Amino acid sequence: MTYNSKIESIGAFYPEKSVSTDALLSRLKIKRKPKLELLTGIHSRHVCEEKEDSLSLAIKAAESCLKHSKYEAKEIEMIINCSISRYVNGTKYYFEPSLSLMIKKTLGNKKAQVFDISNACAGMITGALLANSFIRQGVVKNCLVISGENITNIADNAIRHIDSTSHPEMASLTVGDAGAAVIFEQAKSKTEEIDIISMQTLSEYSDLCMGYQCTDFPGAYMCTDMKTIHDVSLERSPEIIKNNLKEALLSYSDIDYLIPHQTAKRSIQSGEKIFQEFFGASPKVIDNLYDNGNTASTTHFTTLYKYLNKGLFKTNDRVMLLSYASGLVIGALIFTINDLNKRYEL
Amino acid sequence: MNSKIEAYSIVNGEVNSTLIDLLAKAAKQCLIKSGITINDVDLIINSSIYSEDYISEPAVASLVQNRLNNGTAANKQFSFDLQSGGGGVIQAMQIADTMIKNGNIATALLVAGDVQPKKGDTGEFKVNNGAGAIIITATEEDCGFIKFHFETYEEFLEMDNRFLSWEKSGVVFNHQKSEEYSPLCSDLIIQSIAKSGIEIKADSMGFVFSQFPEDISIIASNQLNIKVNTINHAPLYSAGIIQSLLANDNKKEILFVNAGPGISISVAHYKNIS
Repeated sequence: MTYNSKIESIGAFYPEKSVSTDALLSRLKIKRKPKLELLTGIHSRHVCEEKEDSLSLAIKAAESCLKHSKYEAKEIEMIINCSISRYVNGTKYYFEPSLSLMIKKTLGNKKAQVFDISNACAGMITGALLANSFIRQGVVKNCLVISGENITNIADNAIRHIDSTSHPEMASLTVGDAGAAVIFEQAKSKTEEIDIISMQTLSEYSDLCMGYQCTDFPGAYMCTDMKTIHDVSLERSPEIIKNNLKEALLSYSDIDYLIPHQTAKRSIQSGEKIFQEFFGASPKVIDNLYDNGNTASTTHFTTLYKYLNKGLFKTNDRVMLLSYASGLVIGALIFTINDLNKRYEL
Repeated sequence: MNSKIEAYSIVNGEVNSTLIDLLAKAAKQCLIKSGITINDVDLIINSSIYSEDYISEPAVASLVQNRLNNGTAANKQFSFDLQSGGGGVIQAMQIADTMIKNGNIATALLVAGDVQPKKGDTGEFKVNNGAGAIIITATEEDCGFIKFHFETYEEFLEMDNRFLSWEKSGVVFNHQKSEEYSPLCSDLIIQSIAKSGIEIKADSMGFVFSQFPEDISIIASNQLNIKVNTINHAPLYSAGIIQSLLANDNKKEILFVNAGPGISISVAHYKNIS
């Protein structure tokens, strides 16, 4: 009998430096400032210092994850790096070698198969899907899925470009830097395995959010059609999630906690309402925006880590990580906490 | 359940080609050769590295998916990018093989290509514009991927680095490469094949090597005492493995070998339909 994998451990790391939304907006050159904190619920976000980057955030997250794990770094059999940002040594954007190989070297691991993937903010859930597939097929026994997102340079570049509140780089002001890491391992029984990881790309909306490395200033810039991407995501996701639940032989009322992609409080609230109307039930919806913002591919696991440490989850709680990402990618990872909470006891 | 290569294709680019244009063109040719329609594709993996505009998101694979579906809604399809250097195609093959054997998918479309970056100062760095595509499908036939093997030699991590940096003049593409890199790659290929346990069969195997480092197939084939047929086109980087398949696909078995920065060696052993 082969089972899906299970989540063995989760780790996260935020840079110490924090920038408030007010301080960020004070740098905007437009007179009528957007009511960003009111709309998004983001009071502040963590920001990398000069010596921090995508790699260092990932390494710190891996160390945090290993601290809660039964595995030592040398025992990890596969490492999948999933970040959008690929900054090393500050702001050097690396094409090759892969960041996963740099992580392997820094952790002192000698045996892991490594590769990098990129799927916008769905990166880590995509990594989870691949880890699950490799573990289920017996290719590896465990896998470290990891991401360090040093993305606040898109906010710095947006500040240089924004000339009105309808500017396409406005969404760039919501991001924060963070690292997250998860170890997946073989489940020993049906009860402890992940219920489902399912992803779908609605490519007809692939041009609604586009990011490129900048020509003039360090880092990237991102242009987003916020309204359309929000509307389409909320219109299409209930039916997709319904199919995912059906495939997993679950109903929406089986979900205790929902962690959506962390974009803005109002988006999360309108999504919650639409799901409640569609499914006729409502799990507790968690947001982690107030002091972290949108941390791209790491949002689900940084949020899980925070609330595991707060002792929120019970053994039988079932959690849905709901992914929305440029592409347009919609998907879900559904799992039961099992004994994961015991390693985060206060 | 096995997974087999249903079809593959290569397109050479022009100076003004865009990455998405080339990937979509290669994918369309591959779909026509295979007789498979885009509606039958469950998964698209893009393992390109270099684009004209340094795109970071969304996944280039989603833009290719959109082009192949003519901007309309697809059946349930999933796509993502793999950023594993020149070894990306072999890594993508392993992902497709694993997901097919798991029953997650039945058909995967792998695309890879590169276009010369056009932003900022690219210095001496040059890539040949081109792309390739491979379709991998589920099969009950006695053929397909037998083994994958991946080795990394991170003690040589600094030997070939490609990155962007921002100077006062703007963005600069940096390519730092040691002269010892190519011969070392050949030695590590020999070591990695030995570690994989795959038996070299000089007569019955087709040997499909990456096109880079330059002349790696010649150096390694001399060391392994095997014959590698070379191609008469400008060598491609990310799609080099697919390009090399053109000249070496007519044997009972195929050994795919890639060496890339890291140093990372990727090996795949494949059995053709007899």
